[in-house]
Amino acid sequence: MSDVIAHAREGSLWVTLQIHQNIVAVASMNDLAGVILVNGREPEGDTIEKAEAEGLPIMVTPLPTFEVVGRLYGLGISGIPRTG
Amino acid sequence: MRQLRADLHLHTCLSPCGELEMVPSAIVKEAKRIGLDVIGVCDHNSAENVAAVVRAGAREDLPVIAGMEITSREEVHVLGLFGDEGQVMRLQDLVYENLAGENDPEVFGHQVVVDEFDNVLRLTDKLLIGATSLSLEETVQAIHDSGGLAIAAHIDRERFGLIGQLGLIPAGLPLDAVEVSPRSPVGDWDNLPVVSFSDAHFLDDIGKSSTCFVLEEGTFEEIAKALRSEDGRAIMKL
Amino acid sequence: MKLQDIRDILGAEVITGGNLLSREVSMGCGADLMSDVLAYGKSGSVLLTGLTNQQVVRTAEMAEIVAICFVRGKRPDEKTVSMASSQGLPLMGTTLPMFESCGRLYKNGLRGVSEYGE
Repeated sequence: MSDVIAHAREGSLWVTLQIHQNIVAVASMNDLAGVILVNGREPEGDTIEKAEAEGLPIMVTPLPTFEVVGRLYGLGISGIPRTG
Repeated sequence: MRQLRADLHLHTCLSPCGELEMVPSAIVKEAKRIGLDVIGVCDHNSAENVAAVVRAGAREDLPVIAGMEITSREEVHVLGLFGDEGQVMRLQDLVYENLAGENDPEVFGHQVVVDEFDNVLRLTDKLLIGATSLSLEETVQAIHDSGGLAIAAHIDRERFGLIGQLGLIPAGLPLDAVEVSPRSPVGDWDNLPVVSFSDAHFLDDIGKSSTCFVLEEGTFEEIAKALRSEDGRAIMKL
Repeated sequence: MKLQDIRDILGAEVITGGNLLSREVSMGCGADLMSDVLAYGKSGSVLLTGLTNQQVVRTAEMAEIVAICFVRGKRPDEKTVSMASSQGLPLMGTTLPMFESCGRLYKNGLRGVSEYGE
């Protein structure tokens, strides 16, 4: 997640397999648009409540990272350009 | 009260990534040679060599703290330190129940269980390099339930450290301390006590990083007091 | 798709295994947790990861992964490279982030583990 904090930009969509409640804090801190959890993982504990309080959409997909990213890319969503 | 130098995060030949020379008497000898006053044994997801090192240390008057380095399901490493071997062995039962897979020694390395005289007793076939199905919170809770201290290992490291994996220390997580890597700048970690140990997997790395405590003696209870700054016990500045 | 196509699509630098780039790759897998590499790294796939430790190389060997491509400009240490080299496991590195890497390969026809063989 330190990579997300370092590289994500406001409005980014975050595809991750981490389901720890910290995803909400990290996503809100960086003003991300939403989070997609892959491989059918369900958020743990009170992650959903925290996400609702922060107004952060969380989606769950049975697809692995490679495929969900591939399909999103096909819809015109590109990766974050390298800033060095 | 005395100043005691402690390196409480040492692996043994039980850790698949630990060198086979990391056997009890060699660890104790090296620790004594470089002047450590207390050591701790924290293998990955197992404590099967703890008792052997404790006894090898007792032969040489070197206190050995029982411990384990647990991999949570977020792949965060957490050290559990205990007052006796029984506590860590009970925690091991829970860890093993939550640890899937079988080790392939050719791929990940041998996991050698030894006695206090370095004799090989058996190989353990649990996949110790793997992650448990325990969440970070459950891991800390399990350590506390077993009477131990929970320390987030190498918190500043990119891989397997709490910050690298989860970005920030989860609010309200009842850690007893955080461990920082050798030569890392000491940061402010939510006002938690900061310690530094070597995480040695090789004999040469023992004591590469250590923490100086002000204690009466090198026991678990005294170290626990130092982490809470009780009764004059303390951590010297790193 | 062949490894050399992956190199071209990602503008990747070949770290080791330059003589093995005609190998066929049937699937892509992106993983940043070791447990995911263990669970989802499938035979015939290329692994895209930001993990650069020796266990990744060992796991890849066990899972018969065709090659590893490190993303976000990450590079393994020499020991890891020589281990991969002795195992005949090609390693590449791209400066592209994970999302962009997966996206470009998918767009060029590489499928994921769950879609392969559908």
